[in-house]
Amino acid sequence: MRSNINKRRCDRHQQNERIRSLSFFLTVFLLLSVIFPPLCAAASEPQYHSFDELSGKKVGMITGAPFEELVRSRIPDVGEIQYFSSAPDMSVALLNGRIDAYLMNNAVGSLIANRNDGIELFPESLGDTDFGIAFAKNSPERAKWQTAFDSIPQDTRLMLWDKWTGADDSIKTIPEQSWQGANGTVKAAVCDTLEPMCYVGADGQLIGFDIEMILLMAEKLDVHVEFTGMEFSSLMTEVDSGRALLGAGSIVVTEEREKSVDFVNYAPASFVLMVRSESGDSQKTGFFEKLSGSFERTFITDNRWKMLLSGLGVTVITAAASGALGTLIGFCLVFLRRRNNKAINGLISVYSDLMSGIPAVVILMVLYYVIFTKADLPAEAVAICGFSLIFGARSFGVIQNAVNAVDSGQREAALALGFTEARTFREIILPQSRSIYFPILRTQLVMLLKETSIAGYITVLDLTRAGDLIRSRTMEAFFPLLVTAAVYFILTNLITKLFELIDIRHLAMRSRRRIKGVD
Amino acid sequence: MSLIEIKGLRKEYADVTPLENVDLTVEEGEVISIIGPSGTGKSTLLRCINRLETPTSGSVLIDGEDICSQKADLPSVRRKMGMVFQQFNLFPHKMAVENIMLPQQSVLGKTPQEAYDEAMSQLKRVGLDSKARKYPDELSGGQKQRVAIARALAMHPKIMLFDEPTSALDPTMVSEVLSVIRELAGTGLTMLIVTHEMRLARDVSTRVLFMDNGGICEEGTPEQIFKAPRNELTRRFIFRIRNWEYTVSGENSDIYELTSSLEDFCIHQYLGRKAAYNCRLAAEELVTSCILPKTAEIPDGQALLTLSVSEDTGEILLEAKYPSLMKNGDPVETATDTLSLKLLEKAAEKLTGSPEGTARFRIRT
Repeated sequence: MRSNINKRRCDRHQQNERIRSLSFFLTVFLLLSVIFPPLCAAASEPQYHSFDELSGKKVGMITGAPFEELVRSRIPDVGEIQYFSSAPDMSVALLNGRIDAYLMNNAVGSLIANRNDGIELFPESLGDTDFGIAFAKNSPERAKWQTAFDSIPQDTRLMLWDKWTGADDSIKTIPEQSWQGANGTVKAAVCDTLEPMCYVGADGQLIGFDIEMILLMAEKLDVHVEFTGMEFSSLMTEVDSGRALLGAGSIVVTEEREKSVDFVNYAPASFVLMVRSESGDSQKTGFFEKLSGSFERTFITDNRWKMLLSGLGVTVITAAASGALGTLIGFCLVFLRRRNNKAINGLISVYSDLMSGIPAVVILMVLYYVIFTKADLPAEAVAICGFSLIFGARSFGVIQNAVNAVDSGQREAALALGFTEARTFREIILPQSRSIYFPILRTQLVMLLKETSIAGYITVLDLTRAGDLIRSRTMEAFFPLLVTAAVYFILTNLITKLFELIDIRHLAMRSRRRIKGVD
Repeated sequence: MSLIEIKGLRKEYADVTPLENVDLTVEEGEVISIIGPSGTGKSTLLRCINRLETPTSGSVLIDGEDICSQKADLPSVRRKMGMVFQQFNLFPHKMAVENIMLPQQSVLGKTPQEAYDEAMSQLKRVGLDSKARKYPDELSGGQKQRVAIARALAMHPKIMLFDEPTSALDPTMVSEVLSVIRELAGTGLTMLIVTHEMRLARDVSTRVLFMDNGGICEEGTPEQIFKAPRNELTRRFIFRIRNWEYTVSGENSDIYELTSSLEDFCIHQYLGRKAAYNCRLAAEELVTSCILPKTAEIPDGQALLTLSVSEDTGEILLEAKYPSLMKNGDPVETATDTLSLKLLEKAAEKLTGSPEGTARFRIRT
């Protein structure tokens, strides 16, 4: 009878396994079919030539770029404006046909057009302005940096421009900060997905025109610069909140931006539109050649696999640390709650309401940009802190419910035997609630791991963001997304397996029927 | 000093008051059974004694210590009492023997080996030493309850409280638990047993309490309570008697209402067709030929009809009380409608020896 049940259980387990591996292949297939089109596109002539042709079309731009009016002034009846977080995302969207054009500055734009067969520069420009380094409004530092910039000879500036927008990648290196740095270290927030101005080079180092320009100025001022890479949309917040002294990343100076920050203008800029090439005369490359080229660009070039690996490490550490700390917080709150102190209970419910009522990404940003602005905590620590708080509230709820679900007769029996309330809880109620909260905590932990993918919002270089950075260099979504998806998938399955092992061990202990202190 | 002294105990909830003004004194060595209909505060009384319920008012003294006071050291008072629950309440994550060891180790501070030895000897006492390493979900209901009893005994309490120990059991398992309780009753341990097992109450108790309507209605030796209950409620409970009552008066005597309400009662009591027919016939003839003629003569007079059914004996009695209708002689004795009286005689047998102003009949079945 019993072995029969076990067999059935075993069968069901195998069936689950089969369903799980099936779902994996299904996932891979879906990813392939969604991301594949960009691999096949290739051509040379722009699809559109005049602003008239773009009326009614969809135009993309980067979040935080206030250029809607500019676009409307040239294309009065533009179809729809969509916002993206990085240039590569827009390139993929353009190639997929989700948008028909996107706005970029001339520097990034030319490079994308040169690199990518399917994307061309739209022949007409939208207007000229300057690239600027952003400082907080009325920052006294700005004037010093302006002086430093003015002292850089025009020839040097032009030489830099040619170096970074050129095709020769081998000379694209930045100087060591070998000067003394007598005037301290300043922090610079830079968008790291905008090649050639500012991007992630070999071994994850931040390089680009902007970076070298800032270093030149820094040398004159005898300060060291600490660069932090992030999404473009975070730049202004970083500068505004004072976390960073200056922000850069091919920021184009506009009237609207000048209202909130001050600039040091360092290079002429113009707005361009990127459009698809006319398809038809595309040169056909073999599918597997393309795939292997893409593979090499994603993983091998510039040792990009190292970036993915370190991103994986950050993700695992963040999830594990906040899972452990959060569970600890949960248990502490459950114990605190038992004191029945009105003030404490009030605080606990405010805490868990806040944590469950606000999206995790907003909690992280509030912690990073508002609460820990002045504290010199690394973003990873803030992320762990934030996720611990979020997970703490969840595990508290889960454990509390599990404790309440234990039959009240258990408490009565223990009390009647002379147990104190505290011992009853520790020795009778809590051990029994385990079987209720344990599986729920497991699914919550899986959710937490996936949720850490938003840590990129506060500049943490986790797995998802490592994938994003690689995409920004290769302009290809296939491998980075596939690998990111697969790694998350494997990680979550590992967590499930780990918990299963613990459960099996627990069952084995039970069936061994050993009595502690007697056998 | 008595072991338990309860004075003016009252427990009320928002909607019900299961205990009203209960006084009880228990001496050492007494075995007290508490019987009565469901929902009459028997369990609440037991739970007030070890403060699983906090009384609304009144005092409960255990060994001279008032457990209702703020300063009472509840764990130490509760250690003097073992409690056995209707739902067993074994700890499901512990084996039988661990269930008995855990409280000894946690509460009494015994070493695992001491606790184990004690646990095994208690398990032996309830005949379950072979099941020591079974988990509760591997035991039958009766075995679980015996382990629960052993767990309570291992703490060496002065008092054992049993809260309907066999109510959740399959009928086939009741006897194994009852025999353990019987054995215990012979050891001189003070015991309070809330139970619906009348035979247990009759056989093992030194005193039986009958509770109804939130208080102790009657108490006495098992002999008194089970053979000659004085209280009407006790009597009905002990003999498992169900009653139907109807008042006939001159003003509004609705014979159709009377018969339909009587028919409903007969259906609910699952009386046979013949018995039900005879009940109706007897009541109808009694009212139309004996009582109604009298109420016409005496406008204020009325009669109370009672039909009582004993589940134990199956006896059905019809009683008519009419003291206010006696002015011109007993209505039944002086009735003149012979056909009616014949029918009444056919349906029921008149019993002799009734008090004045009362007539009793046994319905023929």
